Amino acid sequence: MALASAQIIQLDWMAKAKGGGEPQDEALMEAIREGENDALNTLMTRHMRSIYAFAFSFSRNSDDAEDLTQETFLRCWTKAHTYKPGRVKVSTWLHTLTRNAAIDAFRRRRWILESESDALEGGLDKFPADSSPEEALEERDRDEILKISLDSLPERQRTALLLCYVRGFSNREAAAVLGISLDALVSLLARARRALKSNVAAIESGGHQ
Amino acid sequence: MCSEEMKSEEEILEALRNSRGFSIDLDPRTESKMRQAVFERIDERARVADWLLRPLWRPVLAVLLPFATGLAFGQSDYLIEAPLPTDPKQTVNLVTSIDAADELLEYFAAHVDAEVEVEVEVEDVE
Repeated sequence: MALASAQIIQLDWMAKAKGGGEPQDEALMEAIREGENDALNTLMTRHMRSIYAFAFSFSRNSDDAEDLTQETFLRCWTKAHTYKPGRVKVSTWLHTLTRNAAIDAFRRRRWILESESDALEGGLDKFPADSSPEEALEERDRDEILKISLDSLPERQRTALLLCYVRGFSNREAAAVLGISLDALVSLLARARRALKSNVAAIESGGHQ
Repeated sequence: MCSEEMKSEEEILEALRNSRGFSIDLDPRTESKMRQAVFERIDERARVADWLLRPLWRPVLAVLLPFATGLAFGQSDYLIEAPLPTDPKQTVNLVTSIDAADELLEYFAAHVDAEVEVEVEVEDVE
């Protein structure tokens, strides 16, 4: 007996997603385009933490980061047909959706320019047991300086640094998230590094307000 | 401040790479809550889309179109507000965003017999 088309699609993406033991996000996107809830569920399992962390770098509080994360995956569902396999990785595309959602939220609520609030909550207060108190304190100080220095940068500079140096994106992937050319990204990173260094120096010399 | 100051650009970037302060905890309950919320919003969206796709809406969208291109896409909120043809006291709001603007255009193109020319400028947040 022939399988219904929906069943065939589901079996197809499940087979592709499991193929070779490697994650096949493109196969999941194909299934999402066909309206497969399970494919979206699998994609969320793979990328939700990374997207949430990226969203947090914009929102600086957990409630808004949750909203941004939901919005990202909702857009993934509704805009799946616009994803072009092979041009960028799915994870890169998802980060682009997150940034766009953050820009939209910024326009509506202007929270990107708000004060640091509970930035990096759950990060700065948690240090592993393998550090001595002195090391933990020093690491906490260093991270706090980096956090304040990054927060003082323009959004694009901050995002470029976070993507390339914290999240391990290639320059090409970061350029795709920011919607700029590779050359523009390289130039943006150079400006961002200089600005970050200047901010760090100002804080370490006690010049930060 | 730090006992060991970060002097060079390389030192700063190395500290950034090794920083554990940027990892964010996401507990399974929150993850599950977000996952459920996404599917609820997808269902809600499907219901609204069903409603909007009723033939009743086609003339409304046709009326909205010039308004949308002339006003709504020039505003940062991209808001379209129009009275319901069946009950003028009620209005409907269509709110678009950077991503949704494209989607809305595609929707108009597919369901409204009119040409649409819209430029959506994405402002730099810097």
